[in-house]
Amino acid sequence: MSRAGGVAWSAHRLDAAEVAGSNPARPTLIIAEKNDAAKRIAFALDRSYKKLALEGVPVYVGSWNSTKFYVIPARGHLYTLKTDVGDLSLFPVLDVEWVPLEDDRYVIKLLEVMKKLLRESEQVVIACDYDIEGETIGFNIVKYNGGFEKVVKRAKFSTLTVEELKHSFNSLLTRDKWLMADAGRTRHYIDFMWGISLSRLLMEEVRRGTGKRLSLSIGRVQGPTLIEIYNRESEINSYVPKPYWKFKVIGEIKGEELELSGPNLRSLEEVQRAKELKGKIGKVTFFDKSMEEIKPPYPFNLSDLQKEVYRLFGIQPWESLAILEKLYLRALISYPRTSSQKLPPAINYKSILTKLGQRYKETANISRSYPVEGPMDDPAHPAIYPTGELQPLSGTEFKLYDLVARRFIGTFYRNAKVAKKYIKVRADVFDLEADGAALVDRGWLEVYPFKEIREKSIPDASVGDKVLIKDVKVELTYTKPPSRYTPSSLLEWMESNEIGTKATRADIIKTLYKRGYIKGNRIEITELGFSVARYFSFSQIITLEMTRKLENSLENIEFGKAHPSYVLGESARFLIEELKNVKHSEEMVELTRKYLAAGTGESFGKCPVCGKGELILHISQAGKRYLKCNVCGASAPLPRKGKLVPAKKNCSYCGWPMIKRGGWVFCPNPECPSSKIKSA
Amino acid sequence: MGVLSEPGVPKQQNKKCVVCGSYSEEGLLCFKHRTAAKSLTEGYKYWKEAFNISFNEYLKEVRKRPETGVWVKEVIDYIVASNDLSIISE
Repeated sequence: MSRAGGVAWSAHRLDAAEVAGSNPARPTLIIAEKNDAAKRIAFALDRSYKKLALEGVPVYVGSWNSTKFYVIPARGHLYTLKTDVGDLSLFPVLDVEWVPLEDDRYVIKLLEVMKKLLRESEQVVIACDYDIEGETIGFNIVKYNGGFEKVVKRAKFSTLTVEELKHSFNSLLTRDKWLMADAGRTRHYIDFMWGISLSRLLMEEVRRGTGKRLSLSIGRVQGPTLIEIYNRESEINSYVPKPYWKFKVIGEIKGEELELSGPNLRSLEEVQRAKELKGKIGKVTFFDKSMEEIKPPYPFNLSDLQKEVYRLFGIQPWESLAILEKLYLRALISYPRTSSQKLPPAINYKSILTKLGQRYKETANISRSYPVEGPMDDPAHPAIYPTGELQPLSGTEFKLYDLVARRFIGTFYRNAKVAKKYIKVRADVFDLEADGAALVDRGWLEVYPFKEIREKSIPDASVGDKVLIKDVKVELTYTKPPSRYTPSSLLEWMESNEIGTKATRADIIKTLYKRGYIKGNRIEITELGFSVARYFSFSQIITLEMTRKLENSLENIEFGKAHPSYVLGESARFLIEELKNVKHSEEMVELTRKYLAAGTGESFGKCPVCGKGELILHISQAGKRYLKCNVCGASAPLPRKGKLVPAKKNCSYCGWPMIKRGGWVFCPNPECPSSKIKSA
Repeated sequence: MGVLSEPGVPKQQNKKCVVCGSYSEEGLLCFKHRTAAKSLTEGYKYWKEAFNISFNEYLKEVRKRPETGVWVKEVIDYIVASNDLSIISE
């Protein structure tokens, strides 16, 4: 593996004592996933740690158990997959390899520093997040920098508190097999091979139909997700409502009124018969009273928390994950990427509740020694819980923290109690019924008031009691099409269909937005998204079943039940087989033509000319790119090549939205005074 | 490593959807309007049961409803304009 543009190592910058160490033992290199985590680890191990800047890379140095350590933060993945198969018409692409992120100069410097420190160290500790991605990040750094010649250990922790980090470094894990890294690396291989092969197939299909090389992409998990949105869109667009009548009566029993619901009525004859009930007498055929106890909701796993945050605050799943990660890095909550709904005693409930008591007085009223737990488990991490550390928070960070803290406290609370009643009345041919509910003990709702219990009062009755039908209400109604997906309900769909992982699902949805395949909070598929989904739905290449099968195989690697090479081989066979069966779709090509004519739908910002429209990216029949306002028609040419993204700022000369291509930020307005200044 | 060796299917003439003019893989309707026409056919029995109305009255009522899908409305507009019910039996 070669690295272009590597930096020269400046050994002199290191204090000699720091490098050689005053300790007899050679140092330990600790690889953290992010800078904040690195700092916390260093602080937990040695409060008087020092921060060095080696070639601009932060490295934290200290001593732990009489051994010098360096903590160096990665910056997420430092390695990526690449293929040398450059011809875009060639697929499937099965020949891929891991390479450093060579476009990123900081990463090159970081890897140089890591390599140097690795050489000097006696042992390496991978202290990245304890999950598939974290282990893949750490494993790749060690593997491609000769780290496996050293003793390599793994730190396992779910919070960044001093106590847990110390405990983790006192009981480091040794590994014969890096199963999580195997699973992660295999997932990356498979996603890359499928993604690049299917995207090339898609682009080739469009190129042969339209003569244009349109940059399109689709992934192994994105595909079935997009197809599901497309199926929903098709259901909505081809929906025919069905008429029916809602039927309610006002009855009187022992002098008390109550509203009873009847069955939905399907015809005018039924409506007529229902109306004739007025003034008649019905009889109670069933009456029941019971006390329902409602247990506290389960501790949060990531999906449940993302759904709850969206329901309560309208925050998108990927935004909530980003906020949760910040809270985790500040040691306020445990690791958020978890499927677990369990809270093991090892987290020390009492200590956390005592600390939380300073902010949440409700902790004084807990009644359980052990929390209520859900059925889902995760071998890597417990459910999300507050660490008990308190820091000033505001805005959305506070909202999410508060939700996690209240949910945690709530799991130790007594059940809520609801007194329920149910009555059934027979009148003519109709069975009428009513439910009553009264909250008698708020229980956990005192601390977690985010659930609503609908209360309704109905009188007591006995079987055989007479009910006078005082009034009949019928209302003509029409069935409604299925609701559009929201990011939250789509996440739920992905979860129930077992595609993607807890860590990737939100990002997959975000990618569908970024690629212009879907839009809006109540998700609508765009023309382009429709074409792509229609094509893959028609050609049956990426089915839900196939995606789920691969997910299961990947999970088997993590649990040592399948070998990565077997799963990779199986995936490659699938891919080759599927591509053999590709059906060409003229319909897709035509849809793409329409899409090209209508503009890509991708907005680059508000039009500065009319102030009302959006500047939409268009591609002309000749393949030229330009922006055009969808209201006033103002337009501006764009470079023909290169990926264009909004720079998220406006030109200080003319107010047009700036555009970024690679490292170049420019104003697209041909009349912009800035271009005249430059040419002058 | 393979190359998609089959040449693309040449564009077939006269395979246009009678409703929108888009390419149709089969028959008189494209995928969208074929799906919509099927729903329209299936939906009639519920309206007939509810109001005992004719098919033409049914089309008029369904066209007015905000819940009705846009593809269905396009099919109804075509039927009303062309007086051609043949696409319903597609």
